[in-house]
Amino acid sequence: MYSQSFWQVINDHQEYDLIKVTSHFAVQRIKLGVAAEKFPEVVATLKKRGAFLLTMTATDKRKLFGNFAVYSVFALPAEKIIVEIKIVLEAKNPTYQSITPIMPAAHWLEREMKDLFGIIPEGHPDMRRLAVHPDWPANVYPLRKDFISNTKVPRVAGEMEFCSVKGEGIYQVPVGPIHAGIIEPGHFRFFAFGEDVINLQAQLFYTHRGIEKAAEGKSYYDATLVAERVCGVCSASHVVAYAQAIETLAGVDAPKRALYSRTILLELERLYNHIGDIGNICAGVGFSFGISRGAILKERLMRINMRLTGHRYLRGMVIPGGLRKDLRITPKTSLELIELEQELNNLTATILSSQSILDRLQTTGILDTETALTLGAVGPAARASGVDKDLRRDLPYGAYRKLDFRVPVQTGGDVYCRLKQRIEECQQSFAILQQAIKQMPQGKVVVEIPYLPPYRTSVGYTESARGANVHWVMSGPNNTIYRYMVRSASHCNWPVLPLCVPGNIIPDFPLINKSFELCYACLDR
Amino acid sequence: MLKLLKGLMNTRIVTEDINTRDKGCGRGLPIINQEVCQTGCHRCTQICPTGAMTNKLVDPRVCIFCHACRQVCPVSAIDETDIPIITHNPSEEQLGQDLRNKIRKICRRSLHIRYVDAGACNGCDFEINSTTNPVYDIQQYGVDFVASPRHADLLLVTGSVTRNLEIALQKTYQACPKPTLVVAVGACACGGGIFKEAYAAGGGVARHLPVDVYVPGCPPTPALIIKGILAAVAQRETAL
Repeated sequence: MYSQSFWQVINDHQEYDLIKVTSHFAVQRIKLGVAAEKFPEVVATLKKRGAFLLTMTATDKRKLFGNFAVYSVFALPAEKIIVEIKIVLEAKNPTYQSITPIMPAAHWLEREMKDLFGIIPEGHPDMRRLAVHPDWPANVYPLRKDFISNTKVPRVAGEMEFCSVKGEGIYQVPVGPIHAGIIEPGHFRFFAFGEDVINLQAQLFYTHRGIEKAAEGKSYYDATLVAERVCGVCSASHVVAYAQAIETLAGVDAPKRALYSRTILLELERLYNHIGDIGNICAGVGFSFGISRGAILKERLMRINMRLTGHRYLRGMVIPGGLRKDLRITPKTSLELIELEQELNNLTATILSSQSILDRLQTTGILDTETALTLGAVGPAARASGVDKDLRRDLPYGAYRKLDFRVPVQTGGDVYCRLKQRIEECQQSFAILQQAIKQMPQGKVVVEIPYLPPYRTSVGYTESARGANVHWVMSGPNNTIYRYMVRSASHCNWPVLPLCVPGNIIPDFPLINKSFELCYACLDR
Repeated sequence: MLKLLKGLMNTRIVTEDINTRDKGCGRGLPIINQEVCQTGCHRCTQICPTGAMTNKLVDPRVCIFCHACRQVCPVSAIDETDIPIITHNPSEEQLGQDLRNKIRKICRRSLHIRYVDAGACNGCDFEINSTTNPVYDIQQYGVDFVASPRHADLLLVTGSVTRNLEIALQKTYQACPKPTLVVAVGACACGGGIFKEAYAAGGGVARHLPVDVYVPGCPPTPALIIKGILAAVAQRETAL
């Protein structure tokens, strides 16, 4: 595909400091240290080769080495390579050249680093606050090591900043943070002419709890509980990503039986989310038959979860090194799944045969391929817009290498395509589940993690129901966590969502929002 | 249309009663069997990530139901029991057939709930959503969710009350007609959960509002949430 491999590029640039190379599950991991001024150049090279950004974060190492470091992790799916690039910034003046102009997918990550670490990305096109609200005092950076976690931070006066739209007959419609339905909090500001939305902006991070800071200093085992509780409905994919990061760091492989069991957990999670979303999209158009039937199917899946793991949201199963206990799979499980699949097919046939529903769904909330690619959208939302990206296939982890499945892709990018995408992904998930149950190897489910080498970095990732979940970990002394960063699928897709709304009417926003089905808690942390 | 009718015909009644289900499954509250427990061993107390265990007793409001204590116990002395709903009047345990009548008396046939997410992880939200599904069908008790706090008799709060939602929660409470019942749902709302020490997590609803009923669980099951709501109503009745 490419005339030269990425290795050639590294060889050609002797100034890049090759820190470490490892290979795991046919995926190569390269760690490069580059000078801060060379950073945009490296990112441009990577982008040219088809790389996408997995995550980007900073660490405060002033106490250790007297500096800050910025780590960014890219994936090169064609060459099955993960590249981690580290730049070092001086403690007095932590600034670097922003990579957002080259790789727009980094724009929220860079703003977050500015808010939480005080690291300035020079040349960033949007320096407004993101992760902290206007009442947060200036020059208080919670993720710096000299900020103590249970400090009471005073409130200061401040106003939310929105890029306003002005003109005769243009109204602002503020919505939230407390919404009318049973959903999570966020503030939306619509600029509308009549019912037509001209611009939509969101103020998020209402559920920001400071989870990443809470994990620091905890032992890697205790931090598993934190990883599970980043988000309720992506619990399994978060904790598997975290466990993989720790296992890679320790150089330990989870046993095969644990890998297959994790695959079952991940696919069950995808299913209950997708089926719940199919029902919710019906709620967005007021189709009560679909709402109730979707809810019944989802409830049945939740009960399967309960029987297999003892928890409706699959918590308490995955630990670094494998699983806490075996799944309680019975011959009945796979029959029950077949029955559910049949019922889901009946339901979706009913939904898709109703012209009045299709009228609402088609051409609503279009996300075009270029926007999705540029801003680094992930998951079913990106695949519904023709972006053929799925970490289960592109950078296989766990048991996915051994399983036969297809990644469906749509081209339209509207609400209808996102619904159809979920329906097709459900079919694949049912197929994966049956294979994994059938091929489940015998043996133990957990291996011990002897020791975490201190101050090493590692990345773990999963494809959740919403897209790529990336957990980045830096170990500390005595098997603790020094820095923990979670980039969920919602973090990638929230910047994209408001761009799909202009041109639609305000009453269609709940429908568009539901078709993306993003978590607030996953983003806010 | 025909498919729709056929689907409706094929679905039997799925609604269940809250007292007939969820027995014996799911994460219960850890309870120590004092006869088996070894004196001098404090492993369970030490491993507890939230400090819920003091003097070999678990505070259900602080517990996050991770069951780390059960795994660490060398003699398997820790069993689990049904998660209790905590009201100010703990004798309020039998909630049964006459609940509908109670709600009728107090709230004139219906109880309206305003739900507030004060920084939850989404798990409790999903379970509260599930209470409205055909299986749990909270509306059969005359209970329903409303869009505005102005119409609400009860505030259902999840999450640890983060810094950024503190003011929104206060405003919502002030907008409710008084007296307002407050029910805290989930480990974070009851006692701050695992993020108690985090800089932007508020440490639970009780630090911010007067709480009538606590529904512990991480997340609590839909049946337990419904029971908690009904317990709040029962409690108000005894107060009147």
